[in-house]
Amino acid sequence: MFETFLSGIVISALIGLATGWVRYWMGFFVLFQGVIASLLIVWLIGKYRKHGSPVPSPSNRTALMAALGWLITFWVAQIYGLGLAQPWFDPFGYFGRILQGDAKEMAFGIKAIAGWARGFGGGFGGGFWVFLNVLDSAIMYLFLFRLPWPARAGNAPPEAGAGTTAENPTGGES
Amino acid sequence: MRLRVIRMFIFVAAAAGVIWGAVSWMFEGANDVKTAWAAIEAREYDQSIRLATRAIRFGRLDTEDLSSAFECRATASMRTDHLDHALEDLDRIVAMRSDYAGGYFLRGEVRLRQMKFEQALADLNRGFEIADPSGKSESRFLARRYAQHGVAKLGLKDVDGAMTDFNHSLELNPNAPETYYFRSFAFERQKQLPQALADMEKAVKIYDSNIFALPHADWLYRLQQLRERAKPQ
Repeated sequence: MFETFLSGIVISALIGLATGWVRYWMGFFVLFQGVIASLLIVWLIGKYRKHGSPVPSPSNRTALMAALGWLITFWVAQIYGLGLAQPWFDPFGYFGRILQGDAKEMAFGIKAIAGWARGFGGGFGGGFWVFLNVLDSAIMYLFLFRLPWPARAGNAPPEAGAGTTAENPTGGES
Repeated sequence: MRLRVIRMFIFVAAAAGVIWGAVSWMFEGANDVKTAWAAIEAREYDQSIRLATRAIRFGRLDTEDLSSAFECRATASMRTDHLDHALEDLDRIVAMRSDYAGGYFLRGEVRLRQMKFEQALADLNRGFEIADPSGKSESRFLARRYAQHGVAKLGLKDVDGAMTDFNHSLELNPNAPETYYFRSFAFERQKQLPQALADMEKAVKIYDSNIFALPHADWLYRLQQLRERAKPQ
């Protein structure tokens, strides 16, 4: 399990670096960035684990802590990757100015108003920019918490035909 | 194991190549340069630096556009007080286009801000050799550069030379508040306080007539100081 966690740290760092680099050039794709990055991390962890020994399902607490570790690593690497894309390494200054509202970052996404989904884009800074980042990281955290581990007995999908009868095909008690 | 490492290496190299190619294809360099200048106008210097850098790295620009991208980035760096970064870019412009006056003028301005007066004078002189070889140009754009030339001379304690530059600058553009402000220092050094006060009052008056101008507390403070000193004892 610890080996899986460590491989996740390395993979999160690499994906974070690439994400930060792309983010500086193209802008921040709200939600898409988190979803794509977390799915890539999870997929690569799975690829790595195929070559190692199978791991048992961790407890919720362990899975939450592991996901938090990966998310923090991803963010640190993302900041560093963004700095590498800059002409002069200054990622903290860049994010700091956006955070204070003195500068803006280009952000894109899809919003839904009254059932209509529309694309949005523009420069964002300050509190709303923080909100967009927290939203993106929350989705990422959810994916990193749930997806990398094998399903536990309680959550495992039922085997075909188990617990069903001709009278009660759903297998529920009635 | 060895085969896996080689395979992985080829995969990473191919992925990096594809991403680089896609990014180069995606970004329109000349358009990025225009947007970067627009960001300067909007005082969004981080965006300006980002767009200009994107144009420089991926834009496949010709020499003129490349020089414009460097100039834009240098302007943004200068306005955010990253003078060393600005100088790096301006050195590139001067090396790339030695017959372009704008590169020398801007480098002179940056060196002036660094208080390197002799180097600033050398750059500004080179700019004038290209843009105004006879010294008879009536372009208003040169007014600002002549004023900076005067400030550099003032820094070198050549008050008479500075006064000549300020006067020439005001002939080209009589509505430049900064030039009156600088000339008031020259008058003050020559112990002509009434003229210094008159210039300072004119500078503040012109400056205040621009409704978009931010308050200039140091100018107002200087005006008040000059008024007190010019009062008959």
